[in-house]
Amino acid sequence: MTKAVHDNSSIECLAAEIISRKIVPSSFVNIEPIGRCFSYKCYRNSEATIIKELQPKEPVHNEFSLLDINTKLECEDLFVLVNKKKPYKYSKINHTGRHKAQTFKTKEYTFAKISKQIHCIPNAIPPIKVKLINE
Amino acid sequence: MEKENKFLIKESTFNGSNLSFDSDDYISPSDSFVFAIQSKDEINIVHGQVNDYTENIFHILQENHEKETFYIKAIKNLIKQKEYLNLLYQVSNEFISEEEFNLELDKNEEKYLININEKLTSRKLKLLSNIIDNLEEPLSEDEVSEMFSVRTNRIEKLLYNLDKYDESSSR
Repeated sequence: MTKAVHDNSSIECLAAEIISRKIVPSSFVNIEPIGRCFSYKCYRNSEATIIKELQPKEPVHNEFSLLDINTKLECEDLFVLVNKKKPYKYSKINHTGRHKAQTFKTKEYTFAKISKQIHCIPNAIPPIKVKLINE
Repeated sequence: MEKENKFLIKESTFNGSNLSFDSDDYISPSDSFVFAIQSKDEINIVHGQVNDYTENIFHILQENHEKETFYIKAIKNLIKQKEYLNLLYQVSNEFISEEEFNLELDKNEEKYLININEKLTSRKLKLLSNIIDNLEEPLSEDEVSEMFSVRTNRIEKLLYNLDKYDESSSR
């Protein structure tokens, strides 16, 4: 299992599990080449794990996205795009210790990117790059 | 300067409107400016020689115009986001059904959909960073992208170019 913790690290997959202390729906966006999708922002102690890989296993949005099954992003804040017409409802779970968290599992194309890494982790050198496809 | 490098502004160019300059004036195309200000059925023309002072004024006017485009885009996108979150609030609290929610999104997509399609250039990034500085509110890259409809992956590269641009302009 690969774990990514630095700013700009991202995953792309066909199904993912998103867990965070606070998940907030953001907007309805159209991004080439993904298409219409819902964006979410996850704040504090956030995670995203690949449950189902892309088929074919090639990145759609960011050339440097991680694509392997069970790959996990662990961070403070997470930005999520889901290629779905209907927004998800979240459920509550017990996550770390006594802390509760919100979670949802996606079943469509999902892109997740670390927008703020955990503060005690040193920055990546060199920084993780994002290269959008079709740019 | 030779005559063939100059142009003559004729009255007919402006559809017979009132002109405030002598139509026999010859102006060099490379170092002149012409303003046309229309008010009702009258057009006033201002023309003159370009120098450092007027060039700065044009530059400021152009920047302000481009900034205004960004402001309008941001306001439009924030309205779309507000409308979407309103709709989401209604479906979350079961004031409307999921079918009604989907139907509304399908029917009035333009009211809710934010297109992220603007390609950033060094120049646009400079204007954007200026706007964001004035906001005095920390914005993440994704928030900037959603607010101004810009694709943001080239920011690092552009910032590097911007530094070089600033260095060369300060010399």
